[in-house]
Amino acid sequence: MNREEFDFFARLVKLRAGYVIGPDMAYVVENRLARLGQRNKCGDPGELVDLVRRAPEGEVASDVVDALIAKDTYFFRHSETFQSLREAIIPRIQIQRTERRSLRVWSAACATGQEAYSVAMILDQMAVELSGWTLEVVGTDLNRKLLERATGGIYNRFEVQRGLPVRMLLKYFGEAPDEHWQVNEPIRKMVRFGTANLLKSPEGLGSFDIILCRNVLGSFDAEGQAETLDRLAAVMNDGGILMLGQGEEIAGLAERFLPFEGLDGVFVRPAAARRAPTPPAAAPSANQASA
Amino acid sequence: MRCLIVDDSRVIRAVARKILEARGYEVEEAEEGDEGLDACEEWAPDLVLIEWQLPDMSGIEFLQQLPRYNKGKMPKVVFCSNEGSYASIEAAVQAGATEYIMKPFDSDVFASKLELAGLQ
Repeated sequence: MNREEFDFFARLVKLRAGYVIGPDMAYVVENRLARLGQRNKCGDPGELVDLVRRAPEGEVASDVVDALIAKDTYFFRHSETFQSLREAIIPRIQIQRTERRSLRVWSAACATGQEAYSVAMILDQMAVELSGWTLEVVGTDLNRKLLERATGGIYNRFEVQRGLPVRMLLKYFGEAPDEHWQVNEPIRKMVRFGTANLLKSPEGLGSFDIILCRNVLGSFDAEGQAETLDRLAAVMNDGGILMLGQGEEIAGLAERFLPFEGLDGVFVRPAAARRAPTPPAAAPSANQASA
Repeated sequence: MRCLIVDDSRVIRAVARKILEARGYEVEEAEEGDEGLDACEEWAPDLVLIEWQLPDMSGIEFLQQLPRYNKGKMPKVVFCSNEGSYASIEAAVQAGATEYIMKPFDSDVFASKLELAGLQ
């Protein structure tokens, strides 16, 4: 892959998903796009570039973006996060929302849904404490194919064995064909999946008490990080909680959120932080990427 | 940490040994249940990795006999098996298994299961 081809793909991903891919990631780009190129009968990366240029809003362009922003995900990733959720964060929200008795959680950039279902399982385990509460988990991603998988809640043997204790497998999953496992219906019903691009103001999602946006913003540039934080803050209830990846350093965080004492990567949105969402950017297109 | 691998597959024993040794475990191997119980009596492992069905007994039978052999100290027991039905996994857990690995597995799955079992 030559520099011009790399730059084309890097611009496409930046415009569509906000991700910044540096030249040091050229080999990753080449590896991730190799199979996609073969599937589309492209002899070299240049032919894949041509294919995207010819149909900038087409499936191949989307597939390129999806391949380049794909992230590793598994159940209860970083188990301390979920322990904090159960022991400190949800109890705090319970106190704040005691009159409305409603708890809404957003798993942003949820990929195949393991994070969203992990949250739902935690909520189920807190059924006694949360008795009488309206609970909803929303999982969103750019990638429709991943969301289809998330909605089905069907995972292979490798996926149900990373991070998921065997007792939770038995409690919350049933066997599915071809050595797969499916999340049980009561947990699936707690989670709603839909497409959303973090580069745009979320529409129709409502407001949230907790947002998990882990290991995503670190791939954005400083401007993209700050603007995305504004958009997240705009859909958070007063005192809402933002959960980022461990050790992620995000531009503009200190100006918008307060650290949650004692919890790394967890932040509180003070009432004063509510801002008008940034006007939605014009829909980025692959044409722009090739400009 | 000491791990005993009880499995009649030489390949599985070799793969598991490699992953475990890379994580600092001392590893012993046994091909059959009786051999594994003898090893527990002599060596008192912290972790036993065991197949669902051994040539001379089932993994469940091994688990039931284990308390008599491990110098009174019950190790963590992780099943590692091709047998991946809900009923089998449930039976293993009810018999006292700490975790259950369905084959095939990779090093990520293996590491995750060790962590979930409360081991490194």
